[in-house]
Amino acid sequence: MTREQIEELAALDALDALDGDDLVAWQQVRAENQSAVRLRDELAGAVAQICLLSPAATAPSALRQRVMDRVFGGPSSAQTVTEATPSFKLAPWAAAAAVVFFVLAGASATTRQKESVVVRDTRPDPQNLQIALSGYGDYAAAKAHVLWDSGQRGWYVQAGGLPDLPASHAYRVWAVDADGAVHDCGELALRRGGLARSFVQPGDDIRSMQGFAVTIEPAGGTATAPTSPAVLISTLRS
Amino acid sequence: MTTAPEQDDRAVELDLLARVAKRERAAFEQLYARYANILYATAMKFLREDADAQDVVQDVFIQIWDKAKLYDPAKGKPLTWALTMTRNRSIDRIRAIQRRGRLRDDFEKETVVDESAGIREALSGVDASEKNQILRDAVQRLSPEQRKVIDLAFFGGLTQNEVAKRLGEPLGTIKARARRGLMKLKELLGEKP
Repeated sequence: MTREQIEELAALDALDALDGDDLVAWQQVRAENQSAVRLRDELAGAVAQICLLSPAATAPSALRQRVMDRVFGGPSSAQTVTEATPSFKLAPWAAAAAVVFFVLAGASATTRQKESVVVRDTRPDPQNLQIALSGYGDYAAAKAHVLWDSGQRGWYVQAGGLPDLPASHAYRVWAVDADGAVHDCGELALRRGGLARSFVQPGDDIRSMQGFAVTIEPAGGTATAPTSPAVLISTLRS
Repeated sequence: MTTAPEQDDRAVELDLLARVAKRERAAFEQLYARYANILYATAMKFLREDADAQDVVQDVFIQIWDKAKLYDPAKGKPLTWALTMTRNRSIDRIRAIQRRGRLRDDFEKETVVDESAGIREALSGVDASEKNQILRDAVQRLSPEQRKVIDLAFFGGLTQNEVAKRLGEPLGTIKARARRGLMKLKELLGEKP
């Protein structure tokens, strides 16, 4: 690959515009070429500065209180402006997946306390791993891939063949860690033609993520657990 | 082109972020005070709706609280990190809103914001500070074709293939314009992580 090609990939990643084979190629480049990663970060820093030219605006004072309530706990800690938080319910697929992952991980079968358990992961680094997701049931034609980005410490989720949903619902990505706990990874934004792409930056236990799934959830909310069966689910990592 | 006040800002913000990573509420509140208006203005630029912009900013601050310990200073300035999160969440929200609007109206709209709005509005801003004038000059020195590609991808949320299709240009041309445009912008702004 020429220097010009590497610069193109770095620029397009800085613009969040990579797709298809180029996205996979970029993952390989950034795993091997630290100067390319630095260039990408510099380009991303340059383009992000354009945001500073936005017309001045003052954040509403109520927003501050809501943010503090959400972060530190308070009366409005479950609210957003536009949507209420959906109720907690562990879906059957997640429960089943959790058990399987748990057995594979060789962990003891106890319920995970997210706040107190430190996940010790002995698996290979997830760098360059590509996880395939397959569609189920009415969504059998859908496919997705999850790519680990070691530089940004997150996952790219790319999907295709996803049908449109009613206005009230959206596709949502979930990750299952080595302890079988299910982590919300946000909405999978649907583009034209059933294509979707999302970047997921989970917490400290990213190295222990063992599988991914996509469900259909109420749109715009902040979820704590899936409320419906998975329409896409990954094969298990060992 | 980094000025002394900018370096001071960065040092302060790095310190605040390090303290946020240690779960210091006071540091988080100070960071909120520094970033809230900038991030809200950015979200408003993309979303144009106060309620949506507030939701995005709220999400970004929650992410800052949750992910501060994952922040790597070598990868960019704290403000750049926060702006990028704001941009990405705004784009995701626009796509969700447009998808819902498309279904409701029963016709297909493009899954993209007004592609001419991002940079055009940036250039027409009234903020005459020296830093923003440098930024504005740098953007104006890009070719119209380069600006268009950056606009469609960064502010419109399109992928490289979607940009090529939208502009009716070969993918290779789009890649070259993205590379040249961003390299020029980086050079003009002297951007370092």
